[in-house]
Amino acid sequence: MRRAVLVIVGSLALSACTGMLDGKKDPPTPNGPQLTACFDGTQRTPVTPPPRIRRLSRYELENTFESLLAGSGKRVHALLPADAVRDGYDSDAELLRASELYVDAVRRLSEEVSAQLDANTLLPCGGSACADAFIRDFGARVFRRPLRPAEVPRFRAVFDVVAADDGAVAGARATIEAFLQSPSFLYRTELGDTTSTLTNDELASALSYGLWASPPDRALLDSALQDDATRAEQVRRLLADPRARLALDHFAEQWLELERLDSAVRSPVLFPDDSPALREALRREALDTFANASTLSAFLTDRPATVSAPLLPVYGASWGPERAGVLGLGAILMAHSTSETSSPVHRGKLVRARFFCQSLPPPPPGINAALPDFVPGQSNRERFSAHSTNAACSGCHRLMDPIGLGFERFDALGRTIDADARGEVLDTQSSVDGTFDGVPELAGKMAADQAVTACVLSQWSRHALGVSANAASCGELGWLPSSSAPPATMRALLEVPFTAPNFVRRSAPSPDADEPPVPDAGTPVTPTGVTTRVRIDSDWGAGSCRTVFVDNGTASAQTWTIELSKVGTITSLWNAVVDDSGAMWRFSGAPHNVTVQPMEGTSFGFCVTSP
Amino acid sequence: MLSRRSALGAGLSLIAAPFLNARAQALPQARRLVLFFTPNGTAHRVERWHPTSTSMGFTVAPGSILEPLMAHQASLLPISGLYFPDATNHEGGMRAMLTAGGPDSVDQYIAARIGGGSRFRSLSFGVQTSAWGANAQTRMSYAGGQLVHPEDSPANVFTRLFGAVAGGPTELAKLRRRRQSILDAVRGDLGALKSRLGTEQATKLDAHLSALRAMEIGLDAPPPSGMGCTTPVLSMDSQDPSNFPAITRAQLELMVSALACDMTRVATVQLAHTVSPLVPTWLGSTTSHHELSHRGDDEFVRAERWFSEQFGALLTLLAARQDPAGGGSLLDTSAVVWVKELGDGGLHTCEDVPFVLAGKAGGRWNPGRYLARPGVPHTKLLTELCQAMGLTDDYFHDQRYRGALEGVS
Repeated sequence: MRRAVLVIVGSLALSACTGMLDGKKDPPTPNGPQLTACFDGTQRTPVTPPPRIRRLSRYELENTFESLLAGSGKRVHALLPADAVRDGYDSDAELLRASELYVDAVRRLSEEVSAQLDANTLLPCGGSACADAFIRDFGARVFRRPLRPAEVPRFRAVFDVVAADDGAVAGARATIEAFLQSPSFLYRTELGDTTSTLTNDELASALSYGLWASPPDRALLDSALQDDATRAEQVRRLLADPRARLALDHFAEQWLELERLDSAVRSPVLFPDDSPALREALRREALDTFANASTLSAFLTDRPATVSAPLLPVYGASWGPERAGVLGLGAILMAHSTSETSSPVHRGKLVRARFFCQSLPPPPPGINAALPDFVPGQSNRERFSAHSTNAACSGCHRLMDPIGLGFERFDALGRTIDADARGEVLDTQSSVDGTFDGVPELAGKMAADQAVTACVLSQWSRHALGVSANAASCGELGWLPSSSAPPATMRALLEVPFTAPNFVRRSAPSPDADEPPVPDAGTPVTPTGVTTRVRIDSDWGAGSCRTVFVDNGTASAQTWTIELSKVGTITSLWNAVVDDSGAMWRFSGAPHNVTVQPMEGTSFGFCVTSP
Repeated sequence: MLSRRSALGAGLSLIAAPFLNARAQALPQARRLVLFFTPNGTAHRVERWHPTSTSMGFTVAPGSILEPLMAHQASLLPISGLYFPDATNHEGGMRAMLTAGGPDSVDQYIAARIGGGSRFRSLSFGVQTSAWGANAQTRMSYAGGQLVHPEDSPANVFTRLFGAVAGGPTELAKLRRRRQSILDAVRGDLGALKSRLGTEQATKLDAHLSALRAMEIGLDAPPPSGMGCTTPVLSMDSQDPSNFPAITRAQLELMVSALACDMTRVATVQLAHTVSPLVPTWLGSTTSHHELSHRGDDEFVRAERWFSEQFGALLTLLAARQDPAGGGSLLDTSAVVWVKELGDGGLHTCEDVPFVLAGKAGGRWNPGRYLARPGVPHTKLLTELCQAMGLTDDYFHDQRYRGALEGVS
C-alpha cells in the first residue's frame, strides 16, 4: 500500500548539495584543509583572539548560583529565557546578550536568592561598621576578582540608602541584589591589560567556566596562570576534578544531540519498553561513556563489559558483535530515529556533521518526493531508495543515507534487529571513503582517521571557547594550534584549547581596569572643539531618558563640562555628575570619563520626569 | 496609483480615498497589535485552507482548517496569495515573516515607536518555543538584529506582569528608593565595563542598558488594578508536551489580561516554532507536527484545525474584554493577525502564505470578507500593520514595495 506521502525526516531532506546555499551567510564551516592542518606539523601561527566579553550562559549561571546558594540553580533554569545557540552550542560569545526578559528575570532571581542568604554570616557585626568589609568580601566572590577602588563606594551607596530605611541587614540584602544584577557578575571579561595579556583573574574564570562551567576556586585564582606550564598543570587538575563533569556532560549533550531524547515520541504500540526512566539511563550511559573515555579511539570503538539492569531492554544481556562505541549507544540511536523507525538520514547526518564537521544545507524548497509510508518490518533501504534514484534528492542524500543505512541493525529504541547494514561513506575528504559493514567497521575507520580527531577537537573548542567553527579550526582564521600528531589521549585533546600560548594573549591592549582617581581639575569650562549630541532613548510623556555624546574634536585631551537646558527633574544619572544650582544643568564627567582623549568621545545618560 | 491597483488583479474593491499617504491620516487607527503564530505552513496541496468569496462575504468548506473560526466570521479577514520576497524554506520563512529581511520585526519596530507610554513596550508569549534554544528557527521577533525571546512559562509571566508588591505609599516609596539605588549601582558597573570596551564589544551591552532603562520606567508604574488584572495561573511544567493545550490557554488568558489592563499595546504569542518536534499527542498523534505538514494529510488538517480553534479562543477572549482606553472591546480596537512562516508546509515554500486578519483595528479594517492577493509581497501587509498602529511608514524595510496592502479597509 503505497501512497504519495512525503518523507522528510526531521529538518533534513532533499537537496542538490552542489554548493553553498546562500553566499551572504557565514563563510563555509571547516572542511578538510582547515582541520587537517591541525596535526600535520604545519608551521602556522594561530590567530590571536580579540579582546571580548562573554555573558555567562544560562547553564553557567545555574552552576554559579548553585555555588552561592544550594538549590538556586534550578530557579535560574526556570526563570531565564533560553540562550541563543550556534551549531547547537549555547556558549557563543557573540550571541549571548541581555534582553528585557533576561534583565527582569535576573532581578527576580537576585531578590529570591538574596532573601535566602544568611545575612548574619555576611555581615557579622550586624551593622554598618563592617559594611565595607562585607562589600569587599562578597563582591570579590561574585565578581571573581578583587573589587576595584571605585566599586566599593558604588555598592556602599546601595547599602546606605536601604540601611537608612530598613536597617543594616536589609542594606546588605539590597547590596547583594545589586551585585547579582551587575554585568561584572553576569559577564566575564577576556579583555586583557595594557600589554594585551589576560589578567590572572580573567584566566581563572576562562579556565573554570571552560572546564567546569562554574566559577573558579581559590587554588585557581591563586595560581600564576599566565605561565604556560602552571596553566597546563591547573588544566589537568580541573579536568581530574568531579566538577569537570558539569562542563563535559553539557558539551556531550549538545555535541551528540542528546537533547532530542527529551522531545522524542515513540509509538507505545511498537515500543512498549520506552519510558522516561529508560531514556534517563541511556542518557547517563552516554555521558559516562564520554567522560570516562581514555582515548577518542576507545570512545569510538570500545564495548562495555557488562550491561546495567535498566538497559537490558535495549541491549539484552551483553552487546552483540553488531555494536561498538559511541555510535552503538542506545541514546545516540534513539535520539536519531523517528517515532516509528530508525532514521538513516539523522544518523548519517550525525556522523557527517558532528564527527567530520561537514555541514549540510537544509532541504531546498518546492521539491516534493513521494516515498512509501512506513510499514512495520519494512526495510529502510528499500523505503529510502528514492533518495538515491531521484536526482533532485541524491545530491545531498548520498552524503547521509549511505552512512545511515549502515546503522540499520538498530531500531528506533536502539535495539538490535535483523537488517541489512551495508554502509558507505563517500566524499568525506578523508580516508574513510569506501564501504563498510555495520557500525563496528565504520567506528574502526573513524578511529583511524585524523580528520575525525580534528573535528572532535573543533567541536569541543566551539563550545569551550564560545566561537564559530572558523575560529575553532586550524585554518586561516583558526585559534587552534597545530601540532605534528593528534593528542594521544582524550584528556590531552580536551586540554588543547586552554594550553595553547595564544590563550593568554589578546590582539589589542585594553585600558587599565582600575578607574583613575578623581582629578583635581579646578573649575572646568567647556573646551572649544568639544561637541555634544543628545539622543532621546525613550519618552513616555511623563518623562524621558537621554544619552549625551561628548566628542573631543581637538588635538589635545580635554576635561569637559557641558550645559544643557533643564527639561524636568533628573531622577537618574550615570557616567557624569550634574550641578543643578544654576539656570542650566551643568554636567561634567564621572572619574573615569572626565577627560576625553583627542579625537575620542564619551557618553553619559540621564532620566528625567517632565514638569 | 490607479495603474498599480489595476495591476494587482481582479477582485479588488477600490477604496474611496484617492491618496495612500492621506489614507494613513484619514483612517481610524488600531490601539493594539496582536500577533498569533503557528508553525509549518498549511495544507494547500490538498486545498484545505482557502475560503471561497461570496456576495455576502465568504464560506469555507466543511472540514477545512478555517471552519472552527466561523463563529467569528464577521471579525475575520483571511488573505491568501501573499509571498515573502527573497525568502523561502523553514528558516528563511521564520526569519522573513515579520522582518521582511530587516533588523526589526514589525512588532518590535512598532513597539519601539509607540510603546513608550506603556508599562511594557511589548510582550512576547511563547508555548514550548525553546527546547532547541534560541535561533533563527525558534524565534520570530527581532530587535536591532538580535533575537527577542518569548516567555514560555505562564507562572513567570504572571509574576512579571501581576506580581507587583502591594503596600501603602510609604512602603512603595521605600521600595522605589531601594530599587533605584540598586539600578544606579548596576548601571554604574555597566558604564565602567563599557568604557573599557572597543566599539564592537560595547554594542553587546546596548541591549542590557536599554533593558535597565525599561526596568527603571517600570519602577514608576502603578500596580495593575481593575477587573481581571490578576488572572491566577496554575503552575505546570511548561516543557511537557502533554501540557501544550493548557499552556496555550494560560498564555492566551494572560496576554488578553495584559491588554485589558493596558500594560502594553503590542503583544505576540508564538505556538511552537518552525520544524518544531512538537507531537500533538492530545489529538492522538504520534508523529511530529512538522512531519505531518509534509504529509499534508487528514491528520495534519486535524492539527491545523486545533490551531484554528486556539486562534478562535483568542478572539473570544478579546471580544469579551473592553479596551481600557475605550472604543469597544479589545477585538474592536485591535489589529489581530494569525501569521505563518510558510505557504504549503510540505513544499516548505513562502508563497501563498495564509494570513488571517481579525478585529476591526479601531474601525480601520472592514472584516467579514476574504481577500485573494496572488503575487503581492507580504511586506505590504507589514506596512499596513505599521499604518494601522499610527505610523506613517510607506514601506516596511524593503523599499521596492511601497504602500500598504490594499483592500483591508
